[in-house]
Parts: sequence; structure tokens; C-alpha cells
Amino acid sequence: MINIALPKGRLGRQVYDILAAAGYECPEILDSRSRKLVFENEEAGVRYFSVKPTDVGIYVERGTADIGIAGKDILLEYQPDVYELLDLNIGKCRMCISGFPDFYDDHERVLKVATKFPHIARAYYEEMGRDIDIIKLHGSIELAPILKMADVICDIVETGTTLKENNLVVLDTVVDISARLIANKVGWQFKNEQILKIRDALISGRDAEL
Amino acid sequence: MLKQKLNELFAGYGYRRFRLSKFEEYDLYAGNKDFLKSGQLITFTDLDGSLLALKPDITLSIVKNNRGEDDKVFYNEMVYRAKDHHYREIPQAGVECLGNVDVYAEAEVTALACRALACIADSYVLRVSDVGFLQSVYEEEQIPESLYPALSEAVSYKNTDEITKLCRAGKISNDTAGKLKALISLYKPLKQGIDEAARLTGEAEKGELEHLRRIAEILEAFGVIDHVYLDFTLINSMDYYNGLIFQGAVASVPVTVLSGGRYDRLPKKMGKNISAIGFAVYMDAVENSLSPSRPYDADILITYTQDSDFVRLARIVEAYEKKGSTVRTVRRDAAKNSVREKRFCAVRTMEEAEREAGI
Repeated sequence: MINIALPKGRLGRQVYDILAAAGYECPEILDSRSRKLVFENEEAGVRYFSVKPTDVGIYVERGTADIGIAGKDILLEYQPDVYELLDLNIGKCRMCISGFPDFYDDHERVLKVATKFPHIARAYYEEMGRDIDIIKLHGSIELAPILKMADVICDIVETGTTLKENNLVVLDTVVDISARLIANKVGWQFKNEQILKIRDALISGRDAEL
Repeated sequence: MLKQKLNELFAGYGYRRFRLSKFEEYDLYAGNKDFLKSGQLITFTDLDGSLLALKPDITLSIVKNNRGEDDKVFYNEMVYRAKDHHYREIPQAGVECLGNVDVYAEAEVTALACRALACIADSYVLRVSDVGFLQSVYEEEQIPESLYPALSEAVSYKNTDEITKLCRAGKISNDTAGKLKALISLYKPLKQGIDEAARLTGEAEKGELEHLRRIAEILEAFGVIDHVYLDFTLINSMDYYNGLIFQGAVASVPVTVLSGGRYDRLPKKMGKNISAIGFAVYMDAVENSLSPSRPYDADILITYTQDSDFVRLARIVEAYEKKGSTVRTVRRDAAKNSVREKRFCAVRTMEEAEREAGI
């Protein structure tokens, strides 16, 4: 039995569709009224967990799930000790530094950065040798520069609509993000064949999209 | 229990138990920070003003105490390390073989690692690699040194798509990318793996593969070869390992439970002209996952009152205890609130217990 942690939401649904087409279906998961979190198809040998996207890495690292689908942002931020087996090329977006168009980086001052991703933000600025003050927020990051709590934000940009509506612009791209297939390091050894089979199914699913 | 098993195993192969004090001079660790995974130590000042530390590692002390002679030792002790933002006491067991380390000694330590894993669970895998192998592939493919860190990171995550990206960016050739991706994906029983690696890298067989072949032969004689797999993605903490490295896992524990390898650089750095190989078993990881948790405190709870015959009660308790059941007694008329909520398989009055015990 392979345990798969799927992120709740559109990305998880997209990945499930690819897996279902490859014979790992579990139709129950599509029932939007269901409050169930665990879905099992004994015949196909898979069990899906629907978890919060930021938690996928934790489930996989701890071996509760053998494999999972996580955004590269989550992997960079939390650095779970897992294998990164595949870039699914979906769920694509960018991690960006954004601020007002007239933003001027005054190096005399410590730069205040609001973000949901303190680790990524710190690594980015450390590489530049820039001293920063991280303001960790859990949502509505765009509010921070508007209220002058932060100078810039470090956040995911998909379409840029939210930024635009708040008169903010992308100042720099930190890293490109896409969904990855990750595997527990021990599960990978003991369920190697099954995991590789699922990876291959995801590869053909990905390449069919291209 | 596992601790006992491992001690017997190591002693059975003639390894001597190494015991040491919880304290060690701070300088030993300060001078070898790159050897420790974390530089965070619990330090304190001794009465004479010297700085001491609670030992975060045992290998360093073993090497420090070696005077250049051949030695085989094992340990089973506590180490003190920062983990998850707190200092923790972590049980660790391990083996070190110092002095003149030849192919046989390497294979023996590797076989011991397999046997140690077998003490934990029947279903286990020991992955082996040679840290020099990828390095020589890099050199052969004439990859610029500035790319090593990025490549090694991709390799350690088995991230083949990252290799593709480096290739698309024009940093490595198609041919090199293909080879690296094949090596990353290689995970085969040792002998089969060596053959495949030889095929992949072609031409004259690399010294590392030849060396692994000899080790494989000896492991076969030890009867553990079936559990040993080749995996070149084991390259973490490359800076102090050289040559053979290995990592062990059992199916029932989701993290690596054993890791080791050859580390000649450490004794050299400490000015000792010896070689060294060894491994550590992460007892905490094993215990956390495998210790069976008892769902109740005792098999049977026998209740009595102040009027009960205590001599009879003692006999009943003895009867149960002899049968191998765990028994706990409680005064029914005593203040119940003073007893912590407990769970038992069965609750019996004295009379019921007596009947069941057949006294």
C-alpha cells in the first residue's frame, strides 16, 4: 500500500486526475460534500490523504505518507528531509520580492520584509549581504507595505492581480516555483518499485500536457 | 533490550566496550566543528576554570584517546545535542575500527552494520556508496568545480529534473546529464549495481567500483549481501568521509537509523597516523518508532477494603504475579481521587480474583 499526501485544493485535484488516469483512482475523493480525509483503494494499492499544502512535507518526512505533492516554495521554506523525485511542471508561479514602484532600497537602514516564507526571504537577502528584519505574517501580506509596516514583501506571485490592485509591483524574482513529487527516504527504499511506477505515471501525465 | 542485543553483537566480533565520562574538554569540539553536525554544545566551566562540554559525539573522544594502535571498540552511550531548537539527551550506539583499516576491516564493519540492523527488524536495507565515485565522474566529465555544490545537492535529493535544467541552461552537456541522471536513479543490489555503474561510466573501471566489488565478495561470505544496495546519492557530510560510506534503514522506521563510513581525515587532522571506519546507530529514532506502547498500566486491578484479609490478598497477588500477569491493588474505600486515572485489562474484587486464580 502506497500512502500519498495530496495538497487540498486545485493542485491536489490536478495531480489526482493524472494518477486516476494511470489506474490509481479512488472516486470517493471527488465527492466535494465529503468531509473524509483518508481515501483508500485497496485493489490499486493506494491510500490518499488530503492535507494542508504546507503540511505535505511533514507527512512525507515522518513517513506517514510515502510520497506527496508539494510546491517548491514549501520545500525551500521548511526543508523537509525527503527526496525530490519529479518536477510536475504544474502549479507554476514565482516567489517574488514586491513593493511600491518607487521603492528605493536605502542600505543605511535595516530592510523590513513581510512574508509567509521567512526562511526563503532570509536566504535571499543573506546571499546579497543585506541586513533585514523579517515580519512573519500568515496572510494578506500586501497589507504590510501599504500600512508602512514593511518596506517590501516576499511572496508568491501567480497572476499579479493582487499586487496590481494594491499598486504594488514585482521588484525581483527569488525563485520559480512548481509542484514536486517528494518521497520519504526510507519508504523510497522499501517501496521502490511502486514509487517509481507512480513517478512514471506522473511523468507521462506531465508530458501529455506539454 | 535492543541495547543489550547490540552490545552482545559487537562484543561477539571482538570489539571492546568504550566507556567515557559525560564531560569532555570543550577544545576538542571547538577544533573539530565541521565534524559535528551542529556547533551548539552545552558548555560549563570546571572548578579549575577550564571549559568543559557535555559530549555531543563519541567518535571524536575515541579517536582522541587512540595512541596510534589498532583498535576495535563499540559504545552505547548518551550524547547531548541541539535538536528541534532544544538540547536533548540522545542515546547512541556504534562501532569504530581504528588503525590499519584494510578491505577486510571495511567489510567487517559493514557486515556488523547489517547485523545491527537485523537486531532492529528483519526487513532492512543498508545502502552503500563511495564518496570518491561521483567526484571522479565530475572530473572525468570535466564539470567546472563551481557546479559541484549545485550538482551534489541535486544528487542528494535524487532530483533528476534539476540536472535536466542545468543541461538546458547549457552548464553541462547532454551526455553528462544523461550519465548523472542514470547514476542518481541507480538503486540495485550491490553486485548488480556495480555492474550497472561500470556499464554507465564505461571504459576502464574506476578504482572505487573495483574496491566495492572486493567488499561485496567479503559481504557475501558474511551472508549479508542480500540486504546491501548501491546508491550513489548518499553524499551528505562528504567533507569528513572519504571512500566507503553507508546508511541503514528498517521498513518500520521512517528515518535513517544507522550511518557510517570511512573517515581517515579526522585522525589525520588530530595528528594521528591511522585510518578509521565506523558507524552509529540512532537509538532514539529506533526507540521512538518501535518500542511497543502498552495500552494499560497493569493486567489486573484487585480492589479490597479495610476489612479484607490482607494475608489472603498477598497470596492472591503472588499467585497472579507467578502466572506472569502484572497486578496492582487498590483500597476500594480509600479516597479515589488520590489515585491517578489508570487503565487496566480487568478490574476484580478480591473475591473474584481469588476464584479466577483458582486458589
